[in-house]
Amino acid sequence: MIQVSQLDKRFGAIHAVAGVSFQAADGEITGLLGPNGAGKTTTLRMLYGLTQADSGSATIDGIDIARAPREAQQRLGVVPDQRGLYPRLTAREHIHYFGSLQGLSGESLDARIEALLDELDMRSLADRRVQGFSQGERAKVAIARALIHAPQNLILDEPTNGLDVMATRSMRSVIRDLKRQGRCVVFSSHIMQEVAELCDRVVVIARGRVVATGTPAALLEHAGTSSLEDAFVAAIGSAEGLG
Amino acid sequence: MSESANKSRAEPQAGLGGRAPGPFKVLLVVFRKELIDALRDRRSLFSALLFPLLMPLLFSVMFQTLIEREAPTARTKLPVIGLDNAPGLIEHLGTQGVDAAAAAADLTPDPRAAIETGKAEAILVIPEDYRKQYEAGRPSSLQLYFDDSRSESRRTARTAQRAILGYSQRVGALRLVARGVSPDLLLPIRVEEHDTSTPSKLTARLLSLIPMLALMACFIGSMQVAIDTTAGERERGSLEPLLINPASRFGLSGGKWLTASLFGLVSCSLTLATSLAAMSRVDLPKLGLHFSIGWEQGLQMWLVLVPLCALASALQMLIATFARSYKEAQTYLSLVLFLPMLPGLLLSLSPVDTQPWMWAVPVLAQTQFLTDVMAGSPPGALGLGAAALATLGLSLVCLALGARLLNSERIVFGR
Repeated sequence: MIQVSQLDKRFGAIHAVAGVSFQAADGEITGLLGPNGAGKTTTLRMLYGLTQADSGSATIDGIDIARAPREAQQRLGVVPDQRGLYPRLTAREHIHYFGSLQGLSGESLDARIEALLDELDMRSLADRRVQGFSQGERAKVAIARALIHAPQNLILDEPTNGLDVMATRSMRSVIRDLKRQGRCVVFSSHIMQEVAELCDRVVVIARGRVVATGTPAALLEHAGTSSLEDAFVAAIGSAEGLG
Repeated sequence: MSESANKSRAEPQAGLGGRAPGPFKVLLVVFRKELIDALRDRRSLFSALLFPLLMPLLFSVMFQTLIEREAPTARTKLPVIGLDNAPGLIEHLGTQGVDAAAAAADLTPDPRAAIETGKAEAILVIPEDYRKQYEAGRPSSLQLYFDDSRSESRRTARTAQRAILGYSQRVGALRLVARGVSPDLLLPIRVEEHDTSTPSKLTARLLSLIPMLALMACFIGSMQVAIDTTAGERERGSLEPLLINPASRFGLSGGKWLTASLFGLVSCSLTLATSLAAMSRVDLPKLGLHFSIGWEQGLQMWLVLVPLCALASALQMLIATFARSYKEAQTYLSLVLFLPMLPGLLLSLSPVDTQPWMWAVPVLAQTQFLTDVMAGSPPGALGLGAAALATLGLSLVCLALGARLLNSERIVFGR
């Protein structure tokens, strides 16, 4: 479970995140929806502890990320904004590296890698160097190394960005599987259709603020519109910056 | 609360993560990964092996050239047109290291063109009337063709000229003696030549390059790995995912540093080894060289340089961490390469004896020690130890600064 309360972050004169609060429950998919530059990535970076909040707090399973970042990071699996791979390593080596850094080793690590390779249908990729992988294949490696320690909480920053239709579908099915396993999944997106299809709860962010929260259906009802796009525009107050 | 939440769910994989790895475990994990990565990187391997492969080549080519050109036994070949006209002169030339031989047929018609086209270095022409003039006691003139702009041609001509002049003076002296005049009257001044540009001096200068290049190898060998694990990691966007792991920053930096240091150490060791091996194949006494660098001196140099490998990689990693891209880091680090050369330059401008305070100045201490080894006085254990401590200490400072930078948002996300 992830709880965010009153997160605030400024970069010089820019107020990137202004008092963002929300809660993401286990067994649910929570979508952060907002136009580009709304503060989604900065919010997520504060959640996984690479950006220090000016004020406010975020807890992962009750652990404050600012106070005990290592402990909280053990309960987190993250596919961040930047998901660079090491071109000269194989997919299996990537997963092994991140597993080792999470404190796994020996047979339990190997067994976990085998299970993940099957789960993500990437056995044919396992022992190829990632140089020359397609975007979809690279995304699989990125999600596999984030899942290696079977974290209870997942944070995915625009996970379908740059993927083709098939890769997007397979990424969405991975996200649904994680929900089915009872994990807490937070993902950001600027694609309304995707959010409507996947999410149990939506947090709409614009100009660093939460402008609406609720189930996709509740958002529609609240805005009195029939499409989520209209609800989104109504929530952020203008059509400006729609991605 | 979270524990109970985890347990209440019947999912098999919840909470696999064990204890977060300690800094030393992280260091080993990162070291293993970076080593595999670097060994597969052609750029890293190339820079680590560049000097070691270059040295034997450099030495064998240079020494071979030296031996051929400058060895004391080297003889000068001189094609002569009209060889039979002056047997006495030719015999004298032979005793002065000049092998005169009848010019080949293609040189004979036009000696000037033969020189211009480079078919011969110098050609001596002895005219038909030489013997008649000689017997009549009249001066006879010979023609020596050469090209002053070519060093080999100039050298051949100079040797021949000197030998001919010597013969001329001897004949003149004999004629004076025959007439009862002392030949000394003709030579009010005598110049004794002492040419100090001996091959051994040149060779010594070449040999003094070995420690300098081994010192450079510490830096060049680790440069690519240092860049790839810092600026490279950031440029390819793998730094952010890496830092989300519950791993100590010191462990992360330490593993990368160990890899880079190892590359520097291998490069420096191989450079020393291949240089010494190449040298042991060269006939140094033939060059009139009385000293050489043996395996013992090689080992002393190695001991001096080992701590420097740690500093070279830590310093280069620290600087490359500030760079936004691989290329930018390369620009910075090519400037850093002047650092190891600086003390050497200063010391060669104004040589000073090793002072104890120098032990505490990394790079300067090593340069001075290497100079001492070359001069045949190896540094004492105290000096070596002090220099190693100072150098390793500074490495740790660089390493700690680099690890701290990994917590800086400006460095991790900065554009």
